Amino acid sequence: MPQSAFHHFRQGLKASFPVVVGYLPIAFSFGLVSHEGGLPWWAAGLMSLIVYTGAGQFAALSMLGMGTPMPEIVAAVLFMNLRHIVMNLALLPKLAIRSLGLRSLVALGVTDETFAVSLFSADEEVLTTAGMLGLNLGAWSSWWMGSLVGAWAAGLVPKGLNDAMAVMLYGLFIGLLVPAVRGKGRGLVIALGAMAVNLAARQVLAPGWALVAAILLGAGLTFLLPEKTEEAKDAL
Amino acid sequence: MRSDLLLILALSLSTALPRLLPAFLGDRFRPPEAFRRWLDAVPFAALGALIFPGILWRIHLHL
Repeated sequence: MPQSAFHHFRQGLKASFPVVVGYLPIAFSFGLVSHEGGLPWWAAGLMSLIVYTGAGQFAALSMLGMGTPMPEIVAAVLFMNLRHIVMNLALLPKLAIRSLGLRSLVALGVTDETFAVSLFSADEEVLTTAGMLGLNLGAWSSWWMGSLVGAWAAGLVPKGLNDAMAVMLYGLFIGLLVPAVRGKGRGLVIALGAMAVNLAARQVLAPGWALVAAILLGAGLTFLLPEKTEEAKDAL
Repeated sequence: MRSDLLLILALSLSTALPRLLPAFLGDRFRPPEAFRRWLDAVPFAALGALIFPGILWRIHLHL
């Protein structure tokens, strides 16, 4: 690796610090809750290693806990992750990577958080190929390591506390949703609409498919709402 | 145990494919504005649907 690429990589790794601090406790609780969901410790670690999606992994656990069949879980997680298409479409052209392998490697490590850090970082050396690899490596490592530690710790935690952890899952979802919709009426309307669709769809569909329908139709509400503001567009 | 592994492999495809698609498309493709708008809304819809009505079932179970 040339000297400047190594420097960019280190700057990227440094820029991952706030993401790592944010990921570790969430990854740890994922490990804990996965135990309650009946997953062996290695499965929690493997999931964080190769699935690598925050809300999607918790959603999968939550659906597993309800006995949801596999195709419904996979479909729900797929739809939750379609947003990465848009993020990578916005990010990859800025890096102009010629090698398909390297472009894929960067693309695989992109999350909501590393995407935001790369585009909003004051340090422009982060928004380079090596910088992105450093940033993604830091975030990804903290995610699977935190999950493994959580999964190991779960065996030491009494059963009652594990049950409480399952309830905590909803605290986490609410904790993700509330700051996201603050000051954004449309986000709140879409979330509430998806709740209504989910409740209605559950009367006729299995819970997993009801969730998928609620995501698809709830997000469709965006077309009934007024055009979004410029600042939201700038984010992409 | 085997089904856990199968689920994780299937899930890894469902997160890898959306991430990889733009890497294969190259730099020239731009998604239609309506599709971007819909994708922007997906995280809100997903979180809302994950919270309700599932939370009722959980609370009921623990009270």
